[in-house]
Amino acid sequence: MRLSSLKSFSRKGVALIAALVIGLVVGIAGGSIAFASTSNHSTTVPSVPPVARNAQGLTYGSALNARSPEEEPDLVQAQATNGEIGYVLRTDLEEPTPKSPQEALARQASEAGKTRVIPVCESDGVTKIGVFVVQVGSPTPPLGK
Amino acid sequence: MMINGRRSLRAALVAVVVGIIVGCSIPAAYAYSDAHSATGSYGPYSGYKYNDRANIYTNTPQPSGTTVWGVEEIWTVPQYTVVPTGYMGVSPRVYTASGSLVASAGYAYNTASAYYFQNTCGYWAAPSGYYKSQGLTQVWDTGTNMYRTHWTQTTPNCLES
Repeated sequence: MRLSSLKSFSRKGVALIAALVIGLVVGIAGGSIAFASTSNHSTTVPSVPPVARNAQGLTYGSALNARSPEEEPDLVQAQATNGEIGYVLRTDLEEPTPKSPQEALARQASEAGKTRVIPVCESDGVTKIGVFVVQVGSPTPPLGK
Repeated sequence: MMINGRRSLRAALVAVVVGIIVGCSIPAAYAYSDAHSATGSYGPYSGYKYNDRANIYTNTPQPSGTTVWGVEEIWTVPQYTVVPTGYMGVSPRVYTASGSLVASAGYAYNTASAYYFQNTCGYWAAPSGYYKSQGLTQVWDTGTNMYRTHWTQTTPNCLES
């Protein structure tokens, strides 16, 4: 009697675990399909407005329109830390190009761990509406032999 | 007997439903997005040719948002050709889909002889939004004694869900 009820209990237990496993498999498969569809790349998003020129003759707009450093606008469209959309001066965003690898490495060492805070302005390049933080970056160790 | 059978069936159904709920939450916990640009090629400068590429990744989304990472990378061609210290510089950027710069990091240069180097910047993004990455790479040109700057290709939009 005891043995038969033990067997019955064991069978039920196995059936329940099997049902749980089936549910897990169905859930993981369904969830993966659902999240895969949200993890890909959509093209139905706002387009980037073209670069324009302000009264001072400075170009302003998104740097995403540029195909080379020469095409980058004078005022680069950016989001300030307060959420306002404005423009940062390209010359503020990009430091002068080092004149040698030695200078580049020396500058890198002297600026290690330091962020730079630059103003965000309206398209006139003068009226300040916020600030933008240029990060230090997280370079990986260079891979070499 | 009949009651026992119904109970067992009910228990099995509950187990299936619990399994489905738990199973669905597993992919959600590990969901992330990523996108990669086409590879750009340039050079030779100082006798070296280079490839570069922009990448964008998101962390697992939280209710309040997630971090979007822009990762720009540069490597030599043919692969494993080692260049001297300071020859490769990388400055990563992250943009919204409408073109606003939201994160940028200054140039970092390879501090040891290397064939591959990358740099990363991050942006804490509210839920739902599309982001792109495009960065700049610099390589040293001994022919002109100056750095040559190259823009990576732009990644497709990456959804922060």
